[in-house]
Amino acid sequence: MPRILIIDDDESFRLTLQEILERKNYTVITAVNGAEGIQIYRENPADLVITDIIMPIKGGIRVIMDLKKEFPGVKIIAISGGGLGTADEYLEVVRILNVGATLKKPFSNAELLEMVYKMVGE
Amino acid sequence: MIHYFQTILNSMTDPLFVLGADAKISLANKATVKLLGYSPSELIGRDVSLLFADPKNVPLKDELFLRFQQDGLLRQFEATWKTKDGDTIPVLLSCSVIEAAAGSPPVDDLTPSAKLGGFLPRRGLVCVAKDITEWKSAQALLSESEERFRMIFDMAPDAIYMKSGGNFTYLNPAALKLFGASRPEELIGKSMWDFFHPDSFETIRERVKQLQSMPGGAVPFSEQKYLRLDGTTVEVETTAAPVRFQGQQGVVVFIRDITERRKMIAEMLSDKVKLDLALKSSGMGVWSYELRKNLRIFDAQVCRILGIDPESFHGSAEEFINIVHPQDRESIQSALQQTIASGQSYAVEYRVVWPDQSVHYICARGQLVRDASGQPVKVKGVIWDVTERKQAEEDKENLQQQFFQAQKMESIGTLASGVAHNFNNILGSIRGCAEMALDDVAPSSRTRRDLERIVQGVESAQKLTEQILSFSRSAKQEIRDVAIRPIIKNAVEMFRASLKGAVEIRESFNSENAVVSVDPNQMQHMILNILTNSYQAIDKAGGVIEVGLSRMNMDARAIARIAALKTGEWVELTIKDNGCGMDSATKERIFEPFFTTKELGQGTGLGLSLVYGVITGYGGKIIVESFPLQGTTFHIFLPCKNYPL
Repeated sequence: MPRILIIDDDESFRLTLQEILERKNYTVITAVNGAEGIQIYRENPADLVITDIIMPIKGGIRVIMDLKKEFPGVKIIAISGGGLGTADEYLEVVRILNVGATLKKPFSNAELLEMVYKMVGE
Repeated sequence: MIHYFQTILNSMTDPLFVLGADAKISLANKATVKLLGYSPSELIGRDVSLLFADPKNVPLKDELFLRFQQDGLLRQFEATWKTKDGDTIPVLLSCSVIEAAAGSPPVDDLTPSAKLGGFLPRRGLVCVAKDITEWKSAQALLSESEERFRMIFDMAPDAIYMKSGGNFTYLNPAALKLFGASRPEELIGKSMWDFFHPDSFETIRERVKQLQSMPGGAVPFSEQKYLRLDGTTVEVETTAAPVRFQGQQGVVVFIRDITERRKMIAEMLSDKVKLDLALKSSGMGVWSYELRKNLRIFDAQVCRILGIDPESFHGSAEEFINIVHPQDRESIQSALQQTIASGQSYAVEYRVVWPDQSVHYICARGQLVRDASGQPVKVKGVIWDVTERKQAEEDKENLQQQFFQAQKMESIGTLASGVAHNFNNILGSIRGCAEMALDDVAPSSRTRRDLERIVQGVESAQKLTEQILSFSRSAKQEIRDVAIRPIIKNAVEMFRASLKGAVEIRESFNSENAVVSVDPNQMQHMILNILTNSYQAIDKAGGVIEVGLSRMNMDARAIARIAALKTGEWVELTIKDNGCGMDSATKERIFEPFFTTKELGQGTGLGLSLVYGVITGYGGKIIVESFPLQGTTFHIFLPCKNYPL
C-alpha cells in the first residue's frame, strides 16, 4: 500500500485526515510541523506528502521547497485554510512551485481521496 | 443892578462863594448857606478853612491860591465840606480868580455889602461847589463792581491778559502762570511779540488786523503757540476782543492752555486708530442695537460678514432675523433679551445664511449701554466670522472618527484572519468526520440526514470564513483603470433580473467618461451587496431604489461636509431606497463586521464591512444617510479621472 506522510500542526484535523486515509487502507505517518516532517521523510520516504501551509517552526512552503530540492521526484498535496491571506493566495504560491496538487480547507473527503488516488493509486 | 446880581447868585442851585485875598469868605450865596447850615453872618469874614472837614489838605490858602493869583485859570479839585452840624459832604470845587477892573471904584464904594450878604474884594477867588455825594456813591459802586470783575479775572482758570500798543498792560494770575511769571512786573510793559512763537506770527498778525477792522467784536477761537519766560512752548487756544483800558485802546485776550487737551486728543486719536486697526485686522465688525427704535446699526464690516447689502439694509429686526439660520434664531433672541433685562454680557454663536445659501458661523459679543438715568438704551458690540474655525473643528472631529473607525476595522481584520485560519482547520475535521460517518450509515437512516446537515453547516461556515478573510483585505485584487458607468450598469441589470420586478429601480447616470481605479469584479460585487441591503430594507409595496452616478468637483466646502477627501475630481455613486431606514445607533455600526440586523442565520454581517474595506482600499469613501422610516442612502465617493475619448 502507498505510504502517505501528513504534516499538519492542527491535531484534530491531522487525526481526521489520517482516519480518512487509513479507512481507505493507506499507510499513514504524521508529523506536527515542517521540520519533523522532513526528518521523517528523510528516514523513511513516503509515496505522497500532504502538508499544511501555515505551521510553526517550519511552514509548508519551506517544506515543499526543501523536499523538492532534496527529493526531486516527491509527490505533494498542499492544503490550506488561509492565514493572513486567503487559502487561495497561499495555494497559488504552491502552484507556482509546481509541486502537484492543492486543496483548500475544508475540503470534502471525496475531493481528497480522488486526488490521492490520482497521484498514488489505491 | 445889585439886586439883579443878588437874584442871580441866590437862584443858583450850586453853592458859590468868594474869598478875599486873605482867604476870608467875603460872599456866599443862598445855596452855600443852605448846604452848610450856617447863616450868612456866620460865614462872612470867616476863614475859608471853616468849610472844610480837613482844612490842611485844602490847597486854597497856600500855593494853589498863589498859583491862582499867578495865572488866574480855572482849577477844579475835590474836597470834603463840613456842615455846621458836623456832617461831611463831598464837593467838587471850581475856582477862578476874580479881580475888579482897573479904574473901577473901590469895593466899599461899589457895594453896600450887606445887601449882597457880604462884600466883593477887589481881588479874590470865586468858587463854585458841586455836591458830589451821589456821584461819589456811584463811584464807589463802580469801584466795587470793578473789584468784582477783577476778582473774576483773578480767579478765572483761563489766562486773561490785556494789551495795548503791543505791550502787556494786565495779566490775571492764570496768565502769569501760563507765561511762567510769578509777578505781573515781569511782563507788564513788555512786548507781546516776544511771547509769540514764530509759527504763530502770521495767524496773530491776521487776527490783529481783524480786531482793528471790527471794533466791538471778538475774533473766534484759534490755536496758537506761545513762548514762556523760560523759552518753552505752550500750545494755546485764544480769543480776543478790543477794549478801552486805563483810558487807552487795547485788546483783552483769553487764553486756554490746550497742551493737555492736545495730548489727550492725540492719545484718543491714536487709540482710535489702534482700535480701528485692531478691528480691521481681526476682521471684526461693530454693531449696535437701538432698543427704543428697535433698530440695528451695522458697520460695513458687519454687513460683509453677514452677507448683507448695506444699501438695501434698513436695520429692522425682521431683516436681521431672516438671515439668521432658523435653528439659531430663538437662542440669539433670548440671549439678547437676557442682556437687556439683566445687563449681563451678550455672547453668542450663530449661523447666518448668505443670499448664495452658504452658511457662515458668527461669533458675537456685546454689552448693554444705559442712559444717565440707568435705562437700557442699546446693546453694542462686535462680531467676527468663525466659519473656518468651525469647519476645522468639524473636519478634525470627522477625521478623528474616521481614524477610530479605521483602527477598529484594522484590528477586527487582523483578528478575523486569525479566526478564519483556525476555523478552517476545525471545519476541516468536522467535515471529514461527518463524511466518514456518512459512509458508515445506511442511506435511509435518520443519522444520515443529520450528518448531511452537519456537512451543509460546514459549507456555510466555510463561505463565512472566506468572507472574513476577504474582509481582512488580503484578498487579491486586480485593480485597473476602468470606466465606472458600465460596471454599475451591469450590476444593476444583474440585480434587476434577480428581482423579477418586485422593486422598481431608477437609474440616473450622468458620468459618461469617468474612469476609476478599481477591481471591476469586486466593484460589481460591492454594488450588488448594497443593492441587496437596500432591497431587504424595503418591506412594503411600491419600493423604489434609485441609483445615481455623478461627477463632482470637491471644493473646500464640499470636503468640509464629507470630510477627509482630497480636492480634485470625484465620482459619487448613490444608492437610495425608500425602505425602513435606520436609527442612529444602527447607522453607526453598519460597517462593523458581524453586525447584522437580520435574524440569526439570515445574514453574515460581513457584507457592508466588506464594502467599507474595499471602497476605502480604493482611496474612496462611503457614508450612509438614514433615518427611521425615511429610507437609506449610501454615498460612495471614488477618485476619478477622465476617460480618454
